Amino acid sequence: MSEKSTIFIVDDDRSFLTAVTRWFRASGYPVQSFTSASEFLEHYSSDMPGCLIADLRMAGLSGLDLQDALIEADSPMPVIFLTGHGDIPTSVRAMRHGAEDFLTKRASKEELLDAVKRALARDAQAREQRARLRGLRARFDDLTPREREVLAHVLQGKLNKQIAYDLGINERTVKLHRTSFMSKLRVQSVAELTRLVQEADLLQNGQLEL
Amino acid sequence: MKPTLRYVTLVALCIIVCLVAVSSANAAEPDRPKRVLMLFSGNKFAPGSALVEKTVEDVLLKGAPAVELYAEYLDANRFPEESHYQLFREYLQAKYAQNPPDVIVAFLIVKFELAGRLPTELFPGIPVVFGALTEEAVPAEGFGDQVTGVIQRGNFPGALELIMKLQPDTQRIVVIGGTAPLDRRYLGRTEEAAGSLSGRVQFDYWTTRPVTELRQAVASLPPRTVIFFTSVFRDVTGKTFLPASVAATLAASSSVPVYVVVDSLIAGGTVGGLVANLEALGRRLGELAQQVLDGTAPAALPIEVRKEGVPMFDWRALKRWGIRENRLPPDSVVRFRPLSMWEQYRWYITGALVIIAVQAVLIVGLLLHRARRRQAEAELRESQEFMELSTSAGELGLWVRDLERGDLWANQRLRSLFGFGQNDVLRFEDVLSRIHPDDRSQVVSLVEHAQENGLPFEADFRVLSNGTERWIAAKGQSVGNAPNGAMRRMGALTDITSRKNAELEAQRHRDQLAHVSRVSMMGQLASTLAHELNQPLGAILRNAEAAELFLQASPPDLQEVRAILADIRKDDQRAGEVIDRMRGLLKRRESQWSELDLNALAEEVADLLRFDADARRVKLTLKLSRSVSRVRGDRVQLQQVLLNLILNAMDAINGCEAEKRAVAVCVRSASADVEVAVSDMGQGILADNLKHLFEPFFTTKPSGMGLGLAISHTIIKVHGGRLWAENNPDGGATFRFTLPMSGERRENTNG
Repeated sequence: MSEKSTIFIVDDDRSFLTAVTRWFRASGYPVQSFTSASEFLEHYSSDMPGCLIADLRMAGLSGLDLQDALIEADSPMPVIFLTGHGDIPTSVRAMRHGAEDFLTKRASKEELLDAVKRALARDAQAREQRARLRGLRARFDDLTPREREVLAHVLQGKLNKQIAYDLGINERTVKLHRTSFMSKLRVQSVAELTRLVQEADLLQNGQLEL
Repeated sequence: MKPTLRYVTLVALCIIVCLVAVSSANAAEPDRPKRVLMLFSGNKFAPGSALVEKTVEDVLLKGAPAVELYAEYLDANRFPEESHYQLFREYLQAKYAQNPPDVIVAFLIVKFELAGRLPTELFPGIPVVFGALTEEAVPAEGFGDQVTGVIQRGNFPGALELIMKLQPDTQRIVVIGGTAPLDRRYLGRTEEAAGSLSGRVQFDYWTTRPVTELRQAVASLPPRTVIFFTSVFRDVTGKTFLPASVAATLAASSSVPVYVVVDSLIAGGTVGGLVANLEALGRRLGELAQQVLDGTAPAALPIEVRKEGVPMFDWRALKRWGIRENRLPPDSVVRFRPLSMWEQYRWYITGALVIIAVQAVLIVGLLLHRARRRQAEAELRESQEFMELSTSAGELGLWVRDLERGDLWANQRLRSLFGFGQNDVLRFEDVLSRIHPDDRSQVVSLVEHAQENGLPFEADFRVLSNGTERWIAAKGQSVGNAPNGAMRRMGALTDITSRKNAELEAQRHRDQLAHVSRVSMMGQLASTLAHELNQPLGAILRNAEAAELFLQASPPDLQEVRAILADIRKDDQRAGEVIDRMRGLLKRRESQWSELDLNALAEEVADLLRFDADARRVKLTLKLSRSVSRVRGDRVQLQQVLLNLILNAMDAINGCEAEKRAVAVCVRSASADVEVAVSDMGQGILADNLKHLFEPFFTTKPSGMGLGLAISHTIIKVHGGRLWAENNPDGGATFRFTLPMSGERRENTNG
């Protein structure tokens, strides 16, 4: 699996598939082409960077079905829809489900390239974001259960004394835990801590989810 | 006193003259009819007497002077007493004293005094003609010279011989006789004659049985027996009879043939035999009487004796006893032969035949007359029809062709329509040449076909004359024979240019409307069209851009470019095909009819719709019939109809769940038509709407114009077919249309 972003193209019209694959390759992009959505799904895994260009109407799974399948697989690879005809309701639905763009097959190369760039960028960004998030969340992995408890209380703005009372432990123990996780998490202040937690997207309904 | 004397003398003279006249009248009597008195010894009811009386009468009444006939019967057989005879004598005397007869004719079996003494005493000088049937000697010498007559005797040997000749196997003859004098005489004579046959035949004489017994006795006689009936005036009991009655009674119940000796006894069932001919006797007596009346003296007429007998038979008895006529002696008289039909009804038959003949002649005459009249009527009718046509035909062109000579007569109107001169000599070919070249061959073949089969023909065609084009409608038929026997055809035609133009205009409107409808339908397929074109076009664009990039590389990848160009060409072709397919439907055009295969047509339409069907998640299936005839029609218009029906079906299942999203198209033969059916599994059609489906502007769709089905209906109608809708029993609706077969069958052997 190469790290370089790949453009995945799915279209059951072979002549168009050949043409567009050829063009992307000539334009310097790594491309993989599939004649059906199911063929693509078999090959794909979520750690493949890149974007997907799909025809709307295909025999078997349509483009929209494919989009839904990807969303369900929780791997939001950006999708660009290329279609032989466009009707408004379909395009609206596609966009609502998070398509990057909705173009006709005769769209200009600028439009197409532009959409691809955006898609790849978004994909890269999303991956980066995910990586970062993973990294941030990884920090929390080192925490002991007790430290997590104290952390949760700290985040609620409670004083050490209160935390010690709530948890039924020594204030000094609280302080010890606090120091420990602050250094594990590499934050200097509660404000930083709060920001970290927020960034790591660990708050759910105000509760800390680890 | 002189005047008184004169008067008396005159009166006396008158009286004397009168007396003289009267007396002389009395004395002379020149035209008084002759009186003939017939005397019979027998009684009135005896057939013999009746026979003689009748024949005498016949002869005398034919004679020259008129005669008055008187007949008196002594009936001596029943009243044999002398006293009776005396009374009879007195009776005669008293009766005929004043007017004595001019001649006496007597037929006697007994009492020959009636011919001799009695007339001499009562009517002296009156001639007598007598006939006597007897075997005794007649004392004719004592009669005097005023008497003549005929004595008839029987021929007994001859009679017996005849019996043996006719029935040679006779073994026994039963002789029946009576007790009266004549009876005994006859028996005596029979015995004498029997002597010669005594060896061959056994003779039994039945004279002592009463007549009543005899009847039963004769019924049980064995075969090869024959009865010889002589005479029974009186039987053993003393009862008197008429021999004829006895003979008849016996013959009726006898089991064997009964022969007789007198002709008056034939007629009761007896066979006959060698008999005394009383009829001839009577005739002879009549002749003699006539001669006497005419003045011949009886003395000049000698007394005859007849004793030969004549063979006389009853045909019925011959048949009864199986005696063949060819055994009879040659001069036999056969009586009571039933008259043949011809003899009986001779005049009726002749009359009937004459009537039949006359009728037959009449009938033949009538038939001939009728045939001639029919012919005349037909000719008259033909010329009348022609005249009518001519007069009412200010508008009509008329023609008559003699097929053999090729002559063509055409009226003024026809000539002017076709651009001929009024006096040009025309042939059929001349007329044909003026027909528009595009229409000519069709007209010629129609005419030829009609002519060959003796059928009428109709045709519409264009005529070009003087640069103007006209539409003509013509009708022709065979008509009778010309005088030379050749077939003739005649007909009429009329200018229908304005009507035709109106029809063409109407067709143009229909085509326009159909086009509008097609275009609007195409709108529904826009997504299909767009998609189908955008694929190749998009591919071409990307390929071209890729080619640019490849050319920019150093070195340029020419092989790749070549591949690209090949692909571009292919895609261009693909796009072109799509456009061509669509164009046919989108073009505005006139109807063009050709032979069509509905299977292929259905496949084309399915192709057009395949993408759309997929888009709408509808399964479109085709069920085609392997061998289905071609139809004649306009390809585009029929595709339009099928398209319309399938799109409607897809609309009908728009909101349905997946299993119901199917439309089936079925092509098959249905008797003389081809049927196409489009079925869906939607809601079906409301019963109220079924009536209105094909009306213009009727629609159940919110955004429909309501023209599609109306136009489809018209198109199918123009094609000679029928379009209708039905609800399916298991849900949904089916639209069907039929089109007549064009007459060609095509078997698709590849299936």
